[in-house]
Amino acid sequence: MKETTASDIEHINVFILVLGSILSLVIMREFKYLFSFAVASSIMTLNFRFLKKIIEGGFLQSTVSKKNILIKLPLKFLILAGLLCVIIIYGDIDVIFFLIGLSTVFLSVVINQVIMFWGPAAKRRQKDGA
Amino acid sequence: MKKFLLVMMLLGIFVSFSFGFAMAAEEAKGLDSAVKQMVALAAGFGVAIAAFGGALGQSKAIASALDGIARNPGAAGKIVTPMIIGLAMIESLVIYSLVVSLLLIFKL
Repeated sequence: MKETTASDIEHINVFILVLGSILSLVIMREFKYLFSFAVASSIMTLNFRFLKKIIEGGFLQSTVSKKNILIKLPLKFLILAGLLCVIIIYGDIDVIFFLIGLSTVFLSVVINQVIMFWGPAAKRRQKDGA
Repeated sequence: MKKFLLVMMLLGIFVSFSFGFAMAAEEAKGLDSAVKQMVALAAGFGVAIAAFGGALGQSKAIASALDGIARNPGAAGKIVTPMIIGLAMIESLVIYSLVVSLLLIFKL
């Protein structure tokens, strides 16, 4: 069976970001909802991307990179928390769409697993008896 | 293409700020002081409990992954990917709690 890679999840994250932004604009017909979803989804997508880069840089090298683990990881968290604070305090956001946007990673993991187990490739493998 | 997407995402985040700077001067709504105290307490406890649970979960995930990598360094690539996904999911739960607490404090 094909294994899940972080890049697959990243691609699905971007797909959800684009599709969700279009859907929120089409359904609600107001930019406030689009921005609420798009900002939250972008934050989670970028968070996942940076987390992947930092951890892969830290653990997958021949030597453990202290710079990645001790500086970049806490810095990423601080920037994320600061960004969220600024957006929530000063931004005109819709709570529901913002929280849906924050669920991007969950949705992409679920979609990835659904594709893996019920996608055309999986059906073909089952048919071939693999 | 990837750089373009990255720039567009960051641009979207900053554009969203422009909507809300006028909201900063919004007056505090007339909640009772006892209610405000309870809201502050709830927000503080909410973030504290979420951070506690998230820290426990992440520490356990990383400890197990490092244990696995130390036993079998060849499997590092296979171990790290699910660990990243797990860490991201744990982190997003803590972020939910942070968002809800911030909303309680600043928007209620």
